[in-house]
Amino acid sequence: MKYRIGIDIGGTFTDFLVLDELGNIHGSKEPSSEKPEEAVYKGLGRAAKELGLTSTELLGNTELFIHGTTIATNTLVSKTGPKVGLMCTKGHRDTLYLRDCHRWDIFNIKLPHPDPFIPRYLRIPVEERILYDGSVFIPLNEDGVREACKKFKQWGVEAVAVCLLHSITNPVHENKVKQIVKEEMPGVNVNISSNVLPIVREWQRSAATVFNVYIYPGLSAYLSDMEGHLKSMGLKVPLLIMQNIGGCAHVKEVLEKPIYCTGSGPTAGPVAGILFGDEEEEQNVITGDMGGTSFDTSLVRNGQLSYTPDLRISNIPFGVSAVDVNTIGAGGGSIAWVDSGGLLKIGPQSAGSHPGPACYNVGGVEPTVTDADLILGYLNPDYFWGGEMKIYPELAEKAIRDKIAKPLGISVADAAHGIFEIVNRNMAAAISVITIEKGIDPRGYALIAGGGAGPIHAGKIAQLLGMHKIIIPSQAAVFCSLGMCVTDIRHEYVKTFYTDSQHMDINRINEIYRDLETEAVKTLESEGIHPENIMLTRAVDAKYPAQFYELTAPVPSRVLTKNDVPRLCDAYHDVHDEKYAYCMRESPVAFLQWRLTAIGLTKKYKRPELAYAGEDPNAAQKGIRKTYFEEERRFIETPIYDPSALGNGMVIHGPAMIETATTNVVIYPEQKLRVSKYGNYVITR
Amino acid sequence: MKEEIKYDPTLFSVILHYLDATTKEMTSTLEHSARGSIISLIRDFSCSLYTAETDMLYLEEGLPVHTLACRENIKACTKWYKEAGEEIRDGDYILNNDPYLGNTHKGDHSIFTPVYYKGELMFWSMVLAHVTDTGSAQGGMSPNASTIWEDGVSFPGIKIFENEKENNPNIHMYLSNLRYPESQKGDLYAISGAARIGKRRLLSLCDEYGPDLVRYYTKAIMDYADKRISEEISEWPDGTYYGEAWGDSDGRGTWDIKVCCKLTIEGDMLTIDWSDSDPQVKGSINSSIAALKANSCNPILCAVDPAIPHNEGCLRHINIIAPEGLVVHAKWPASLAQATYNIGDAVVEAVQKALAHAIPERVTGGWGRQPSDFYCGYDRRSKHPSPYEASHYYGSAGGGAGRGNDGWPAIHTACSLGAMKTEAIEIHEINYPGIIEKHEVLADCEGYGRWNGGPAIDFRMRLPEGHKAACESPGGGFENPCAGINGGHAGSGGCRGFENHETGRRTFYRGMGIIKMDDSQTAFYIAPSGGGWGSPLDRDIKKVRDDARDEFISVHTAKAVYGVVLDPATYEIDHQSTRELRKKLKTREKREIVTPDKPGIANYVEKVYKPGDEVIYLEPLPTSHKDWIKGIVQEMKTIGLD
Repeated sequence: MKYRIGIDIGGTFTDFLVLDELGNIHGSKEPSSEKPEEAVYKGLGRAAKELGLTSTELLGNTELFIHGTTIATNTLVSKTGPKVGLMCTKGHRDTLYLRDCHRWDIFNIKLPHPDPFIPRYLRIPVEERILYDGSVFIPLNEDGVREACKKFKQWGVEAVAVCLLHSITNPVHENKVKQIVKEEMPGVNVNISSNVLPIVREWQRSAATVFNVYIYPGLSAYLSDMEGHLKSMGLKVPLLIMQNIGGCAHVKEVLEKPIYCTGSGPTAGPVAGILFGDEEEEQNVITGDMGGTSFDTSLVRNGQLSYTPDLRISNIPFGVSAVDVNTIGAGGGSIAWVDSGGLLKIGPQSAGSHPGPACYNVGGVEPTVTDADLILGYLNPDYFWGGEMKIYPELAEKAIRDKIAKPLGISVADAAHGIFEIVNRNMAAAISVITIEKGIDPRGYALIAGGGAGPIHAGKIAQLLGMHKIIIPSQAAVFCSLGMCVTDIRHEYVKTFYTDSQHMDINRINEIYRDLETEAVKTLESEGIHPENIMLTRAVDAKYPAQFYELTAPVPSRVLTKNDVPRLCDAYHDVHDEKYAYCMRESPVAFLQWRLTAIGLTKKYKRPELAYAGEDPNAAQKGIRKTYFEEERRFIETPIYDPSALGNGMVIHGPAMIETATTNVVIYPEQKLRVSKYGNYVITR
Repeated sequence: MKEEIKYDPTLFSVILHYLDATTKEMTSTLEHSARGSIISLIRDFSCSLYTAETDMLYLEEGLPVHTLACRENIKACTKWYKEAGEEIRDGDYILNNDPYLGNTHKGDHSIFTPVYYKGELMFWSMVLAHVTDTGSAQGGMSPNASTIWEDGVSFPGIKIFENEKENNPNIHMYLSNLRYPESQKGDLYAISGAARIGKRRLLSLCDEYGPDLVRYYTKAIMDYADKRISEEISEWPDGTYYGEAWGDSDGRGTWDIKVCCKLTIEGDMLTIDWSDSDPQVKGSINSSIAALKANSCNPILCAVDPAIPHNEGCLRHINIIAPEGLVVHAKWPASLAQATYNIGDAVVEAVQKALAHAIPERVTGGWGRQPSDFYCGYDRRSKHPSPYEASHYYGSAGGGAGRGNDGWPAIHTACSLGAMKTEAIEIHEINYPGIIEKHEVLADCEGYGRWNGGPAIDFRMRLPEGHKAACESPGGGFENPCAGINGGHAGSGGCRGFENHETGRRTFYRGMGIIKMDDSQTAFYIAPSGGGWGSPLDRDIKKVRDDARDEFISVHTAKAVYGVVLDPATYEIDHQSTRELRKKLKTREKREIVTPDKPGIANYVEKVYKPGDEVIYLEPLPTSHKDWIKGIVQEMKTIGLD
């Protein structure tokens, strides 16, 4: 038997998923440890044991091993990287400090100015200047570069980032600076912005270059270590790493562009969304993954991932166009509180797993979403994590009574329901940020709910947004790691070349794509992808001459001729019309950045279909519990179902619940659930 | 009567968040679809929502001088319609830019639309944006205007859309008065679009909960803000407090123009009386009543918990007195071209200074005033030269320091509190001919304090070969620095001018006006720093060390101002000497609650002046500056309009 393994390290738990070649899914969870790799090795042992194998046997038969790591994000957030020096154009030393000069919380005089990441004394300007058209205005002062190196050495700089103005149009100065730094500071890693991320806008490009060189040492040590260890444990294939652009890459590739490793885990959510959407014949889905500390949501449109051009960490955008995953502080551990004006609020503070929700009895005294779910009857105190962990309703009740119900002068049940409703509203709002606020109506979409707490709340979130269907995968709790097992290998390339529809240099564009595509194919082939499994997709960032923000439009994948110019323009008009509800077909179009996405397709699995078991679910009912439903405004007797006894085709009418070891699926009144032929739960009105 | 509504704290919170999301969505729509750089990149616009009674319901994300003023705008326009016997119907979009009809100044074009739900007026949705051109003889900001007609064309509450359809004659009239009709048409549609988004979202809210419940909770939201702000103001010490601040000049030869705030705290009510301010001036910096009210409220809302929703509930506690005929409330037909920022920034600062005597720990040092400006001309970089008008807000002033926080750099102007943005230099250079040589912090120019004001900015720009441009200079803050609070130092003041590439000779320009430049010069701007908070002798020693190491200050300043002794090579702290020096300096220190207490004290030009430099006044001279000029200025020209 051949296997694929996906491992996702989260703040509270590390998720494991083993997919066998018949399409069977085996999921498990391991508490995350301080050293992330420890949980990985421990969890692998447990997963192997559950399959009746040793770790060596499991790894020896693994054909794809994909890992989502938090190292890149953590290094940036907790600032544990090397001492980085930044070389910039003379006169522009403060690009990272001045940002876009925007204060977003205007009346808050306590709003601290964001950290520039590299302090000013380590940002050293060098004399040179290139203009917008690539012409050299002031030649590079090479002695100045050597002087800067000297200062860096004095300050103990361990890595160097270089970002010069307009270097993407002409990188000659950046290349020269790199060569000099290599001579002056042997052994020090140097990244230049035109290599790391050739995009226009110096703030984002500087940040990307700095982040890249900053993440590198920690990520490199961690991944080399893990790759070596897994190899010694018997893994015969190379380790693959999930990237924020929605595909994975080999360790060697990933270490060239570490910035693509931030947010590596949650990106797998929408990838899994595509798989489950396919199974249930839905091309338009929204994934919602509600774990212990956060809720991650993402949009899949026509079976395609959605991208954001403005990924941020610690409030610094770094120009990476990544899978658009909106994360808010809404998880089982999110704390509920009442402000001095009597306003009930949830999060963003989270009790995590330590001190945890009040009902865990491990030190937490603040009321959390999990406590509210327990009071409302959505969690079974005797079957939490399959009965492995005891939880205490009386502690949940005390926390909610003291901190919420009393100050607001309402009952405990009303307070718990208030928490429940507000967290649902917050999650619905997070979804509206990626849909309604972008002019997309979520009502045409199915909600795919994952994470430990997701299936409890999904029914309500969908109701709030008027979504017609909810899909809850049978392995909802380890949703992201499944996404990793089915992901493809993906690389992004971009080349900046300004032109417009009236003065288009078609030959230059053909040249650009020839170079990019040669490089892409070479890389994918070196990763073991056969040429027939390579998919290359082109796109271009374009705008009307008077506009400032670009939109990305498709470009045909062939040698372009003059006749393609109107086609390129039409593609842009169409994209514009769709997003802003108007376009100007008579206007010329300006083109800025030419993009290439290279995908190495991995083998697709089809999960086995279950035999039809009839509609009647009665045999699977295992008990009855009192549960609060707002529709009834009271606790009512609610049937509970055992997932192992449910079969393809069975239909359960709400109110009802399915209790699994890792999560509960709540079916609200006027909703009905059907078990699909792949074992997913599909809820409709 | 329908059944009584029972208050539900959950629903309250839901609706409050819904309003927040609505204004954010309106903002995002306009920012990403507009054509004018001042809207799309600089983000000089604001969105807000009103009740049927035109009470302010929600504002967020925008410039305080816009959002807080929109309420005057909508009240004045709807009043005009009522008195004229005209009706505003469902689907009408009203454009207003008339500062004598509740607007701020003519450059801000506002569009609002009523939100009718099943035939009943429920809300108003409003967007106000600063547009590229307003049809005046001088272009955008009209620095030398002296009557309202010179500020630009007036569009006093005209219907742009009726029943959701274009009113083409009015749109045609609008565009035919403007310099850039093509891009400004796009902006007109984008502004209306953002107002339409607000309308749609409010209608969905009524659909979901029904109008009665929505009305009940919108009232509850205002009552909540009322209760919260009432609690806070009640804790402030009762009494009457004074604050004075000054505008640099009016473009017509009046200098150091005083605005005077008499603030009375009584229980949970504030009264701000501007009666002692200077009379209105001949030039363009007079304030409209809308801009005055907005700028008066700005420091108050900064002094309370920022989580309190900013609506009529708060504003009920602020009473503003301003007789007509003053610089803060000019009488028709005075020019109001610079109403929002220039004198408006002084208005903000006068309130801060008054508040500082009552609650210094809740007041920041002064926020800078917008010094850099617009340039326009023909872009000759391609074969087909094209006209442009670019705002280069890079020379942007520093924010005030507060207790616990250094001031932000480059916040543009006190009346915006940093809500605007500055575009990437690469984007600017692709779109406009200016070559930006420098955009950096200027060392040793901060409003020093226990917490420092945002630093001064050194901005330099030149033009490519064969280019000429006209620079509009309507800003201020060069002569009157930002206030220091509670022992903090005042900001630096600043300057602007040109430097000749061949001779190195500098020409400083003082006053407001339009200056011409060509490719032989570099234009420079020193944008003033913000005011400090608390004594610099109390600043954390390690922070002083870091500031010196980062070259925000020199080792000399660390010693002379902060009393921190550092090794100039390694920046190591000499703790023993620092202790002794700080002790000594503290005995001599005079801590002022606010500084400065007199006008025109910034002397940045005097400080950096070298023989051979030239000083040009763009308007008649101030008498107070004449002595200095007699002594050292070799060459002096006056380009007065009188």
